Amino acid sequence: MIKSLGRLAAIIAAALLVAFLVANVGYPKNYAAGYTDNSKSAFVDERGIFSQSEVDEINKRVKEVSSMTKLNIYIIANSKFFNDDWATEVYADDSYDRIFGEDTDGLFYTMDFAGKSDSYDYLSLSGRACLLFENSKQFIVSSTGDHLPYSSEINANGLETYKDKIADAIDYFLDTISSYSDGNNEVSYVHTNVGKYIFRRGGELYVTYSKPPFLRMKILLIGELAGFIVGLIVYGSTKSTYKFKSRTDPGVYVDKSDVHFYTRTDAFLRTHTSRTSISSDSGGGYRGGGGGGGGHSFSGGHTGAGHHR
Amino acid sequence: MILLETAQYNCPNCNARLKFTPETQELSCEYCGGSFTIEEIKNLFADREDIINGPADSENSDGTVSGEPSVSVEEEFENHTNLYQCSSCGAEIMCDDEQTALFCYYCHNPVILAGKLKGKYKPDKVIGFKVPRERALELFKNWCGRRRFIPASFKSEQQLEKMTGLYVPFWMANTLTQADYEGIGRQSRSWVSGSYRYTETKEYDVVRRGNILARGIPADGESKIDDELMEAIEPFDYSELRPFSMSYLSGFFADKYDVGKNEVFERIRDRANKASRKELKDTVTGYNSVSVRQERYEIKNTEWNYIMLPVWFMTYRYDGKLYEFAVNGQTGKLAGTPPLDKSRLTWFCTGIGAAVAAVIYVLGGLMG
Repeated sequence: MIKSLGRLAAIIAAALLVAFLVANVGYPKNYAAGYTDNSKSAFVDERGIFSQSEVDEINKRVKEVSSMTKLNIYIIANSKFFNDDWATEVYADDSYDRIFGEDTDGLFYTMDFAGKSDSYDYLSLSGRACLLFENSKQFIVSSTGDHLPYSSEINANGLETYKDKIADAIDYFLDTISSYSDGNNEVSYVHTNVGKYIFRRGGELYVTYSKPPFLRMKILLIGELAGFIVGLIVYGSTKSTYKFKSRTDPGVYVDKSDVHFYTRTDAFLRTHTSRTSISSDSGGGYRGGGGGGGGHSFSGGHTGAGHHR
Repeated sequence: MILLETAQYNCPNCNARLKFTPETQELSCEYCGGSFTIEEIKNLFADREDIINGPADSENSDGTVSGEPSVSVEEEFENHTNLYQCSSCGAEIMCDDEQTALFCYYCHNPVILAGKLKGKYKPDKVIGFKVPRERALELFKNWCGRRRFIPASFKSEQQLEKMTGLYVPFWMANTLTQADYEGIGRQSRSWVSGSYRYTETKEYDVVRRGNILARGIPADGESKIDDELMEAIEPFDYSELRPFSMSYLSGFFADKYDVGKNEVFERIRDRANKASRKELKDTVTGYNSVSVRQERYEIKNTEWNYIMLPVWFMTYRYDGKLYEFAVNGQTGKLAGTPPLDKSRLTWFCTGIGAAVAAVIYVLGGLMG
């Protein structure tokens, strides 16, 4: 018994050691490119909503927030017509990578003013921004979208009518970005649309194609637990086959012709009848869910959130 | 120490030792190839067979021979050790109280200790070995082959050498059991009518009284051998029981009983009751359930036979525990507790566990 417990303890210790080593040893390449400065952070007014001085004013604000949050920020009042949401997302992700470089820390916010009846605004995140805004990205893009005019309103009244509202929305967006850029809002890791993982390890930001150590360790520990249970079942079932087989049934020593009954009766005594009511159960229903969508093909890792107006 | 009478069967042609051959059920000579039936041997060596027809050496419950003074602990070895002189090489060989057939340790000639088969120790009947040693070894190897975690040493040639042909002393009982059974049998049927389910139950008074004869329930009279092991290799085919002749023992080991029929009666009764119960229950049919009110089995009469049954036997000590393995020397049915190499099994299960962990890790790595 003590020997068996010793073996068990050794196996568990070895399993934990393996999990630790596999999780931490031989760490893969870090693609994180960080944040350099605010020089490329900007607001671009493709629709010509604002005057140059107003654009400069917004630009100044964008660069301030960029410096403060140490995030690249690019906001575009977009005039390009995209056939679907996915095309908008590809455009935002690719544009960010082209302007700031892959796996840098920052975001790209596109406000859809192309005139579609169902506008689609999209916030593309990269690097540290993915960690910071993972939980708030949908709120940010939706609440900012609520400040923007509906496409039907724009089509009816003209974009100029809503200039102030759009300016307020940009202010609101930058304020929200600032307030959520506190490091306390970072999630432990993010898995991007191109299979990259973004996480912190020892205070440093990592962007890798490999899972973060704690996630690898968690998966391996789950695997080891499952393996341990399977191993125990195999051990138990194998051990059970090493038991002594049952004795011979002594019935083999009695021949039917040697059984003589002098009383063998089955006399009827009585009949009972009982009655129980049958309760009717209603049948259950089932509703199935729908399918999923496709993926992007960029090399830089992004996450993001969209909003329809 | 007692100097025992011995009996050997020599070939009438070349004077070499004859051994019982399971395949032919005859005694054969390994040197000249001569072969003789049991009847021929009985006629040729009538004087030797007569040795066991003499009066028994009465023994006390502690195994000492009557007339001897009671023994101290220091003298126990001397009183429980018997001497015989090998007629081939003249060596004086010691053996214990129970052995009745063995081999000379020096010249390996078969020796039957005829003096120990006298009187009450003379078996009534015997079944000769039908399974030769090679077949017993083959059965053993097949049995081991299905188990991957038997220690390698259990299957080694050295271990196989220990496979011993042994005539085990058995008490064979014919029991007449009076069975008395009363119960309430219930037959139920149900149907649905409207919003109700109706269940009708008919009750019957079930009575069975009668006599059940069990023929040939065996119980080994050998304290050194595990009772369960002997019960596991049953049944023997009693149609092949023959009047006892010492010539059957030539070339095998044999023990005389050291557990009397009174001592095995409990086991016999238990098995007779189980057999009777089964037969009786087989007649109580057609009921959905039966509540037993009274069930009693009483053995009214027992006929005893003292017989020798052939068993290939092997023991193995592993990890401080003794493992026994037996093959029915007549039918080839085998039984035993296989030793388990826990260390190898642990490594195997660790390997499986590691493989499962690796697969989950790889699959988990592929997933997001």
